[in-house]
Amino acid sequence: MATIQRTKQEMMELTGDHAIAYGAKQSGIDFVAAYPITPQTIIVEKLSEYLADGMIDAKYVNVESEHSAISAVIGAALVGARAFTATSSQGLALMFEELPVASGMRVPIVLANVMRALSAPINIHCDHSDILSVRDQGWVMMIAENAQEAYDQTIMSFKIAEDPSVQLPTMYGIDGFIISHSMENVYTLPDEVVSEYLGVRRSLYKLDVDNPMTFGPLALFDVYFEFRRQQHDAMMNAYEVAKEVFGSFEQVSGRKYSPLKNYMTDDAEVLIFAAGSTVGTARLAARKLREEGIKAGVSGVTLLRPFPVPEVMETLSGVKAVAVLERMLSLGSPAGPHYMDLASAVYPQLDVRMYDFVYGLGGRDIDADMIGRAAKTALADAQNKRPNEVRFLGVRE
Amino acid sequence: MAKREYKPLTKLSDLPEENRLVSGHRLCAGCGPAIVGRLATIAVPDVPIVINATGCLEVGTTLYPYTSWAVPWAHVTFENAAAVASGVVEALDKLSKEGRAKDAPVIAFGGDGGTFDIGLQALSGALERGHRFLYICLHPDEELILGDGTIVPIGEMVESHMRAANVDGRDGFLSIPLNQEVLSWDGRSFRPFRAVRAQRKESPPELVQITTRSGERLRLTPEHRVLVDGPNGFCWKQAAHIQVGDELYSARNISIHESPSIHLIDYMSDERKVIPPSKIRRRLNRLLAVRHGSIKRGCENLGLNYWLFKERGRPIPIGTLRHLTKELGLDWERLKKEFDTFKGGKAMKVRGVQLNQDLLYILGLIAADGHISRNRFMITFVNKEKALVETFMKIHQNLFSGRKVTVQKDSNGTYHLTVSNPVLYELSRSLKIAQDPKEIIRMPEPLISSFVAGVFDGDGYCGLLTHDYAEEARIIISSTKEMFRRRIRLLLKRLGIASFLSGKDVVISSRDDLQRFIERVKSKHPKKLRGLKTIEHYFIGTKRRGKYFSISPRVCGRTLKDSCRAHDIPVRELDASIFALSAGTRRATKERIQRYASELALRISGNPAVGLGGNSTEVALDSGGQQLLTVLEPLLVDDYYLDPVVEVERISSEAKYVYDVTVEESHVFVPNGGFVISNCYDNEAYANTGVQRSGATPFGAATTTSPAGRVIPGKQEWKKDLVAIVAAHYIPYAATSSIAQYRDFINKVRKALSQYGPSFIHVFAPCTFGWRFDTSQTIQMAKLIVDTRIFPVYEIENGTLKMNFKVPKPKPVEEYLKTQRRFAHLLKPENKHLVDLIQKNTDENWERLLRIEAAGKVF
Repeated sequence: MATIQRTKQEMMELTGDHAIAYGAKQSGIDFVAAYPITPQTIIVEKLSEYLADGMIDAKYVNVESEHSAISAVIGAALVGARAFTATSSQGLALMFEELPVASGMRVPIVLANVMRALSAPINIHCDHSDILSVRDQGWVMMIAENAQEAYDQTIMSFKIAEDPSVQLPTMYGIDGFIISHSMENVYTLPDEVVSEYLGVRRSLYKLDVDNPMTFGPLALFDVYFEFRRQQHDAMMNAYEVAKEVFGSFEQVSGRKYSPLKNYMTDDAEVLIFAAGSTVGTARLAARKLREEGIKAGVSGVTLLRPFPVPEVMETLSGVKAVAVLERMLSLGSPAGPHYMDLASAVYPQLDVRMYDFVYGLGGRDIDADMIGRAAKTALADAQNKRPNEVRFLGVRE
Repeated sequence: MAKREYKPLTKLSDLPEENRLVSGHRLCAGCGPAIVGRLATIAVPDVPIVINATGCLEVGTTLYPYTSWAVPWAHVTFENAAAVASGVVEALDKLSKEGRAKDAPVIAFGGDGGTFDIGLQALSGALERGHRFLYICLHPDEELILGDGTIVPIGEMVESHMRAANVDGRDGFLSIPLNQEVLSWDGRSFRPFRAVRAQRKESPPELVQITTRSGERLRLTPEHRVLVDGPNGFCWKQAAHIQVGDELYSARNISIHESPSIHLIDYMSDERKVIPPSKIRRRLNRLLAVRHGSIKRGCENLGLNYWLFKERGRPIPIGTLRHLTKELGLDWERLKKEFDTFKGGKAMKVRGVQLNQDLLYILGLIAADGHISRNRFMITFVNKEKALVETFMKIHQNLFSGRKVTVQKDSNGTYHLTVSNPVLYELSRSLKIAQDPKEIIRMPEPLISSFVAGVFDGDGYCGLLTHDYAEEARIIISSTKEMFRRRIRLLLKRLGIASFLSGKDVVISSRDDLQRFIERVKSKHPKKLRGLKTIEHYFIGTKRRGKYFSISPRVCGRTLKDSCRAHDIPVRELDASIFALSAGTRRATKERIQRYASELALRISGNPAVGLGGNSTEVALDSGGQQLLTVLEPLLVDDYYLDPVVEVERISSEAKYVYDVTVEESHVFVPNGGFVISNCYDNEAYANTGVQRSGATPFGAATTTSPAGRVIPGKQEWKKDLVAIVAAHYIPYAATSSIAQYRDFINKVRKALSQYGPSFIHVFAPCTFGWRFDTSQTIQMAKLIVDTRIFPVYEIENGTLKMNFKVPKPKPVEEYLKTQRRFAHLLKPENKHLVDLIQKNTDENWERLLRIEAAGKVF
């Protein structure tokens, strides 16, 4: 398909939530079941509006809880529908039971998660503790930095999930309130382009009276392991497929995606690793550090699962220190989730020192100066060969 | 939604040959749930999709790599079968409409955990979502009778209101407020009530067309409810479930808000000229001069022809006069009453400016045997009966002066009367007397009866006619036009006369209706008067009633019998036939029930036996007697008749939209002036308290988390009444069943899958392993629990509970408890009080269900 140059795409002012709803609308979804939770509510409200105005032709079920939301979505996917849901924080936690079920049943559903802190205490603002807590459940996961990425990743998620060699549920996250409720310029593709890009879902296996199949059987110790092994292969395939989809999406939209978003990393001494909207702030911090003579670079994670080991290896080699910014506190763990991913990816081949910085929990603000200080600390610690310890940015001690 | 209609099982060979839960699974020998799984999946011919919650049924049948399910089957987790099923049903609906999937019925299995406890949230949500609104609507051409008698197709009425309200729906449900009276029913009489909302939605592909014996016909969406006579009084049935033989409540006597007087001039066209009386003309001229300076200038300003006003005696078109009076600020409604001279050819004075009975009579004659022509406003009346023609002439000469009536007799002996009469011409046309006289329905009763008399005298016949080898008294009005026949029936209803359709004839044949006709419709035709006299005599001194229309509702017999019992009066003293009436094997006329009731009321009040048919007026009744009469009175009114359904058809809907109205207070309406249907409720609220038990385990049972120990003898809580909870979601169908009654279960599955919404069956499936009884005893166990009344088998259809198995001689609960080791501890002497408690609870539960059943529609 021909690339649609930026000038031909429609620029709309959309909040992150609206961008997701708009992307879902264009993606030809057949079924949505969702339960409202701040700050995801705008997604479901907008979808309801589209439905009420006849702009989408999907079945929309207002379920009574998130658990039922994902159950209904799994049910719909089992008959071959393209199904979508969205949630946040406690809602994702309530869905937790069904997340590995969706993965084990190999249904290519898409879930938009507006990243919000987990209770207790109850907090409605941004941190990544919800999405990172479910990273082992067998879903393909991406993280968006801004509303444009939210829109793009909505469309790409369907493409990745429905690929015959993947067939795994996919979720992606946007920062709650920071992105979800802030309006940005988003370049949107025309409806026909998205329709053609995604096509209609063709499911290989489904509940079909002409070809009855059993889904979700009992698998004891003699076969369960093989199921999981197959899922592992699917997840590995998802890495290649994700890159393919990034490529084909670039052809369609002109926007380039890759599993890691690198900025000034070629000659970086200290790398700042972050996820979500913080990546943008980190770029600012890196520029400021460069002005001070410190060679800083930023690596933002787009594809979280499967974790892009080759890209990480490439990016981290030659780097002296990594300041890993974590927006989740993994209590009792030697390091945060991103650190553990990175460290496991590069050990023992690369000898790079990484330092963890927990920031922004419960929506606490982070600015370029704080990131800059963290990067300098990381560099200093690396030079002194100090071991890692979990440190906090922006908390009042 | 796809139509699915599964009729009850008549023979076992109706079931599919192959099992859909095939052998080779790992469930215990004698497993109750296995039987349920097997029966439920083969209950209907269509292959169902099964969603199964975690439980024995799932674990024992799908041990990878084997599966026993020969149907599409999915298991997700323990508590979400209902939620998964929601997703499956909705997605399948959409995909099947797009040709991307094949539609199928969906059955969700949940064991007691997956349903009662952890699964209750998903179940409640799924039930609730199916029924937030009842979208029940009519075909747009079905007619509403508005408060003033105007008849308008419902689609037209709602659309015009929507246009007025500036509401434009794209496809989809639309609801607007309304303030329009429509014909409704308040339980006694058919009269207007205010409709407060109107709804429109996309028509489903198929509608149900119901035709009754008397000729009423209506097209409805399948879920629309119709008022039907049931064993306990009237009840509501979905149109989709109406069967031939169901008796509907049809209107016999309809009242509207009549207009006080109707003027001829209202039915004249604007071009018709009148010659205003001199004083009116002078007044108009004066006003013109005053307002505009001079008559001439006034005419110029208003665009009128000056010569019309300058000269005396010039005829002026009615439209012009109307325009002029408005411009001059005069009240047309008052002024119009002055005009009595019309011009069409020569001037013609009319005697009386209002519609009167004589005028309607000759209009009736013209409608039946007449002909009108624009050419010189010729009215022709053709008839063999000389007296009738002379009557026409006399009336005409009386009403209209200045017109010559000519009568000629042809070679066949038929008289042809002709007269040129522009007023009659215009009246006949605007009232559409021969095609669609619906305007006449709005008129006062005397006018209607005159019109009907004219039609009858022209086209009707009457007398004792041989029909089906028997002699019957009949009055018949014949017409080749279907709309005319419909309107005649409505006109008769305005007079309180019920009729039925038979081919081209509108027939009146029941005694009361015939007598009413004779009373109210004054024929002037000598031969027909003789025929009517014969009919009158036919009924004197006989008990003959004639066909139809006087049968009383089924519940009357029972009411009489129950009243006898309640007051210790032996039924036989009243009449032995009351037993048959109560059982429904015989039916009685309203008159007969009234006689019995009066007799019984007297007896109740302590009065001595008077004997049937004796005069019992002027005797005081006590409250008991009075109560009986009060209860029966609305059932015995003549304003409605029971109308059996003769045909129920599925027709494809050519309409884009279907419509409905919400009527306040009565909540019903009577489209086409026919039978009673329910309106669209959007916030039904019934108070219902489900009796809540936690968990499905019965009281006293020993389980692993409620073992029978030294201190605590088993489960201390009572079983949760899930069906009551489910029924409180106001779903179309909820039921209990036991696998011992397999036919009952299969038919309930069939009924459930035929509904247009969620349905729920709680089936008793004994577990030989958990309850510890021999594997060969499963069916006996299932039978025993019904025989002890511990598990009542009933169904709640459209909110009305019906006990399916009455269990007249229940076994004591001990018989059941002693069969299972989980209750063994209860049989110890020190636990006898627990067994008594269980017996008491069983009895109370049974009585409670009977009370709900007697109460009629509770949910």
